[in-house]
Amino acid sequence: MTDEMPPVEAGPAPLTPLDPRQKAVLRVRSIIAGLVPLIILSVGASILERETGFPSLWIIGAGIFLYMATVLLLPERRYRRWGYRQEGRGIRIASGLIVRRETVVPYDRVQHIDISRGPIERFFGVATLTLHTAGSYNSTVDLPGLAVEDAERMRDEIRSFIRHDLP
Amino acid sequence: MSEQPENWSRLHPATLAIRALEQLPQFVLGLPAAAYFIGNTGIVVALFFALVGVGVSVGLAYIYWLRFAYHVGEEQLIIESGVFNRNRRTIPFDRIQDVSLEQKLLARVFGVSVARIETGGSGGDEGELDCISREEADRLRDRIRAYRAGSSADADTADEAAVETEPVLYTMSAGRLAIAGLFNFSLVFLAVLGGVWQYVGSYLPSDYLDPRQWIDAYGDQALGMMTALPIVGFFALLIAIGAITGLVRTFAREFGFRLTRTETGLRRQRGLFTRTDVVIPLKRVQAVVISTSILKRFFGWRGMALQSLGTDGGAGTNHVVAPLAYAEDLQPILDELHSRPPPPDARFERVSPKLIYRSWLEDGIVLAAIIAGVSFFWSGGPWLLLLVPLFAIAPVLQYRAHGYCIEGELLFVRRGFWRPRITILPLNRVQSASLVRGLTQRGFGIATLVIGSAGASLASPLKILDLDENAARKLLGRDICRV
Repeated sequence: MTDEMPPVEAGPAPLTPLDPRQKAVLRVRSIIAGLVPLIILSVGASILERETGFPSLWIIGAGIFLYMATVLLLPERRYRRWGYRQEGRGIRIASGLIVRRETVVPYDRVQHIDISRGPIERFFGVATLTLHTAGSYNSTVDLPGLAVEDAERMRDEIRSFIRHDLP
Repeated sequence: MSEQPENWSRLHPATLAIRALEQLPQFVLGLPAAAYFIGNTGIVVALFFALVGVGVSVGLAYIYWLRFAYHVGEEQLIIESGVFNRNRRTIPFDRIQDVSLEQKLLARVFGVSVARIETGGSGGDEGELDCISREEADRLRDRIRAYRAGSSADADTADEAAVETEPVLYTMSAGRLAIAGLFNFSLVFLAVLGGVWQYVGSYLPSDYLDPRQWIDAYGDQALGMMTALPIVGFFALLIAIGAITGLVRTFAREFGFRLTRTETGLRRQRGLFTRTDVVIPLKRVQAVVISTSILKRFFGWRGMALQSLGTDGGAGTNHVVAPLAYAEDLQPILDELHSRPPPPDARFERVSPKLIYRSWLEDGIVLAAIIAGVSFFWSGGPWLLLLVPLFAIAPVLQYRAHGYCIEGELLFVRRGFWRPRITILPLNRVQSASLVRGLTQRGFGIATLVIGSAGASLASPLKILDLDENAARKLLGRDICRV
């Protein structure tokens, strides 16, 4: 190391949380994502009732209960696990509810940067920053739930570090 | 193609002959099946259709050949291809690292080879001339080298003499090939035999597989023959078959192995039937992998491969540069890569011993679930408990074989008890790194560090398992990624 950086040994605590609007994005996504399995389950259960007489109400009831749980509880918890911090020459991104993941990408290894906004993200005014690296593992690193201004500012900051020669 | 310059070249005409000959076996093998469907009298009809099929595919190959042209210019290679959708690809010599050649057996008969253009990019389909003559390939190589020598005003302008005598870094003698063959002991032959048996079996009477039939018919006779000699003979035969399989496969792949230094990279020639001539540009080399096995290590043998952008044809992601070598044989290659041999085991940092407890817990749960599941169908389920000692000892061996070491600009990671391997990754080739903590790992306060590097296999990236969580976090930000 040529220029001395203060050693970083931070745990998950001092990370910047995502924009609170991301909670709403996650919630809408989980509402939509759960619908198809719920419909399939309902159809399957009613077929089962017609064939064997097993009451479909129980299965559908359990399905709706599970669906409500994922819609009401999971988005908040997922949101809380996300966080990021810009550390001098790199960025640290934490995520994951069950398998916790903390990724560090040095800025000068970033190949290119995307900002993407799906319809739900556009509606709530957030954006996803995607860092592409040359590695086969972590070839794309996503940081969702940034206010659009933040995402654009970070993109411009990181862009100034990108090397133009191939490794 | 009127707009093209005069000196455009076509692929070697032997390409057509090779295409046709390559397809012949399919048609010959397909004949009995076709005859079966058409009926016994239809063999002539089947033969006719087969000939028409060969004719059509050769015709198509001929049209494709007519529409494929390339031009070796002063500064670039241009390839035009496609029957209906014309595709013109221009590859500037600046971007070409070198040309790799591959000659299958048929191609060798005709004296032609497949030329693959190696550019500095991240691999993929960059340009392939299938097939051109050996002289044409040399002409292409020379043109690229001459261009580079002319354009680069640096001191290292390649003089012709140096190009002719590339320094040899590693070769394999016949003796070493034989040793490598013995280490490649393989009973894959039995699997092949099993496959053939199954295929042939469908034509045999249906009860041939019933063991009771066999015991009834030959049981007494077999018991009489159960003396020591046939049993020993049987195992000796198995061992001989395994050794011969290993020898044959090794000789076919590694015969004439020769690694030389070109001005841009390392050049590897090998193969008895399919002869390959591959250039690995030094710029594309990401990591060095030195692997051995517990048996090889006992004799001091090891092998070395380079993790590079792009794959080594069908031979996997890594380019083997020394199949079997002593430590000192690897030194010249490591020197060219500006790398160093791994430090002694004692210098490696161990991971957390909690790796052992974590494995015991996870394997224990899996084993318990399997035993519970099997017990439903089979009363002998508890016999599986005999596996417990195996599961108990394996994590300890894994722990003792695992470690990492950072020296200067290099990260060394060693892993594996039965097949120990050391990965040498320069820290400036680290693209990103992640700390991953699963459910059990969180309980133990440990974390796995996964390091992303270019050209690595996605299925098995470089990992340092089960580090103490705080140590891992420090390693992640400060030592590995240096942010």
